[in-house]
Amino acid sequence: MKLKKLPVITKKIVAVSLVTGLVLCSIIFLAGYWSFSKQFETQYNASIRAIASAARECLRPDDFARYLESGEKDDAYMQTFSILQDFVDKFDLNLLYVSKVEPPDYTRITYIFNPVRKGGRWTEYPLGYSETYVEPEYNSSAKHVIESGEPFVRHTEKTRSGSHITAMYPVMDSSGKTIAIIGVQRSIQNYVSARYNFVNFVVTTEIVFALLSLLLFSSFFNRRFIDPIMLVTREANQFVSGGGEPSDKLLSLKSKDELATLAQSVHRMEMDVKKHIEDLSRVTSEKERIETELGVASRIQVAMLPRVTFSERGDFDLFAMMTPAKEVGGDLYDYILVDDDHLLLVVGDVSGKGIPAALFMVVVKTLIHSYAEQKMSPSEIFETTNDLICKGNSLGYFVTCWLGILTLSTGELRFVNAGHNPPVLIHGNETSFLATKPNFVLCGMENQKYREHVVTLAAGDSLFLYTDGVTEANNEKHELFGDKRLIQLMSELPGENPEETCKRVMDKINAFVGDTPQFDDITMLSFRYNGKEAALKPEARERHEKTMEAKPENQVAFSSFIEEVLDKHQCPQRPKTQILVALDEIYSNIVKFSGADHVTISMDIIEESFTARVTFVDNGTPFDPLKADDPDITLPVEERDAGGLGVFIVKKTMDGVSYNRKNNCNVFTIEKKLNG
Amino acid sequence: MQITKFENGESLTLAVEGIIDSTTAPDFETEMIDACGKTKDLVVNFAKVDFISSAGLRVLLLAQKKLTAAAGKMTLVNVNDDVREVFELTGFVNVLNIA
Repeated sequence: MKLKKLPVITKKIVAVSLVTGLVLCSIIFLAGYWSFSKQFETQYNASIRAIASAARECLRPDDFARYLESGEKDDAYMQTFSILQDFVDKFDLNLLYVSKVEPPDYTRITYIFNPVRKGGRWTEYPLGYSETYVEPEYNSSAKHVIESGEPFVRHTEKTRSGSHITAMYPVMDSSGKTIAIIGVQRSIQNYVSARYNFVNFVVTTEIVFALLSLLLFSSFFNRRFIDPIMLVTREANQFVSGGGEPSDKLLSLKSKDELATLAQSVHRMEMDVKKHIEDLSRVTSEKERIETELGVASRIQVAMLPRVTFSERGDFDLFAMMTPAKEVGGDLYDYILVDDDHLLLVVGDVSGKGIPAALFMVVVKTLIHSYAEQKMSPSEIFETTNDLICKGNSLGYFVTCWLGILTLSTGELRFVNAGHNPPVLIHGNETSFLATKPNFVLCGMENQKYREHVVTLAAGDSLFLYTDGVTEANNEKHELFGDKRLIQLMSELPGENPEETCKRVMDKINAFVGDTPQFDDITMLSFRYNGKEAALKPEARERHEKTMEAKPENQVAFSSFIEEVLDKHQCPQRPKTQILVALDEIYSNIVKFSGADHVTISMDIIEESFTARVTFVDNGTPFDPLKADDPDITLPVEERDAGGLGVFIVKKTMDGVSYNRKNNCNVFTIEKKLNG
Repeated sequence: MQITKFENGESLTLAVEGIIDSTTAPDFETEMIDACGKTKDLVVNFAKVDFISSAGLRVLLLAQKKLTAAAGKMTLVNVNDDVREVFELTGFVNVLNIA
């Protein structure tokens, strides 16, 4: 393994161990060295003292004066010298001297005896040899010995004459006076060498042992600690970067220590994280599925609401809108032209919200619709619906509902109220609730009777139907929009345009609630009766209508439908072709871009001006094609593109085009003179 | 819509019959692009084309761009008045070669 590839933690541990080992070795070494030196020194001191002291005993100090005076080596001198020489030889001394050292500065030395090692490099000074020796350490030692009468031992290391130890003893005459010094010098070269060997040995041994133990320690540490840590680190990294797949390798750590626990914990954590992620994605996809289904439900619900506006009739105008609080709502509205003279208006509110309420709403709406088409009276419709639903209604849902049937030729409105908010009636200058004693809610209990009321509308009267989402709209102070505000607002509105009325009420409610979230579905139906005189004469125009799903393949059928009508009126080829091109442009746009479910194409032939009016109604997203800019038709071929050409062609070839947004539908109308 | 092909040496003639609108334009496009790859002298016979909508104009523009880039040419022949009017309205008379 290369050094660089070693885990950082290993490098750190080795470094710390090295430093610790070094410090420990140094301490051991210093302690050993110190005690070794001390031991040797003590021993050498003791022996040199013993030698010097023993040699001193052999001297006859009283004769010294005579020796020096005469300079004669008599028998006694020679005997003493021979003993001293024996000391030198037997004790392996460098030299031994007995000399007079004179005060005051003790630099003047006169030798009495001076045997030296034979064959050594020391010169034997003869009896009476005198020299001036200036060496402060020696001089002060000599002074100390002579003046205090105490022996002195000194070490001299690594001088020119090698390392040695010297003991200096005072020599006293019989009167006890110190008259000379006996000095014994012995080499400590052996000692220094021994110490050197000792140091060598200790240091080498220590280094070898330290390295050995470091190696053992590292490999043990690696195996027991670093390897598991690296395994956990590697597997955790792999888990993070490898798509969250837990590794079973973590479970291979079998040691009974915290590292194995850590590995197991990490493994368990990985399993938990994986499970959690799986749960989360399952929950998320489930949520998405529900949201998609809610979206579909919402579109189905919107698709069930009536889209026609009857704007071509003239004797009445109406507009309705529903804003669910959730994706799908429990409010309902409907209006049906039962026959040419009878208009049914319904507004209701299912208890509860969301999907269950929406499903219930669909059932109620469908039943009312089908009973109305059977020409039942308002009370009959309610009673039949109520009885039928009560039989299968075990969940306790109910509907508050208002239903009226207006005879358009007379203005007579017969209505029933099943626990619903009373509509607002604007009659002349008077704005009030069309209040009657309401009957019990629909689907609450079987065999209920619903009492029919009658009111006669005059031309110009308006009716505003709504659910409690309007009057019970909440602001942040928990105040309700309320009946008073509604009546006040309705009396202020001009009321001529039902669509305008609904939008103004909605704006007022939005301004009132501010940021408070919508709590209940809001539904409104605004109706204005224009009187029978205002009805356009049906014979003045001829109307044809066709509704189909918004699919590309239905274009052929729409084309044939238009062609058929035009042919019936002997329309010349040119305008016919242009109308068919226009149909292609408009219809293909609706199919491609609006997201509409259905398209209704209605066609009027206005006899007086021999004009065809074709209206396209689709329930797709709001889009006004007339707002787009015209393409630049003067560009060279490289810069031209085909965008926007379709609408441009329609605008250029038709005599009139218009766009409106009505009842949540796009209404696009084209007009073309057929004799042009 | 039907398309008949005639080869005449280097030049290729497509005779189109019927209407070119958003439903038939995809087929028209396939044939035109195919033809653009085969010849540098493309003739499109419009004698039996009753009408054309913007979907068809898109295809013609695409073909014209392809042939211009390949240093080829496209000629429309026997264009009837209704179709010619659409070309005039949209300025296509300036970018197409109409015989």
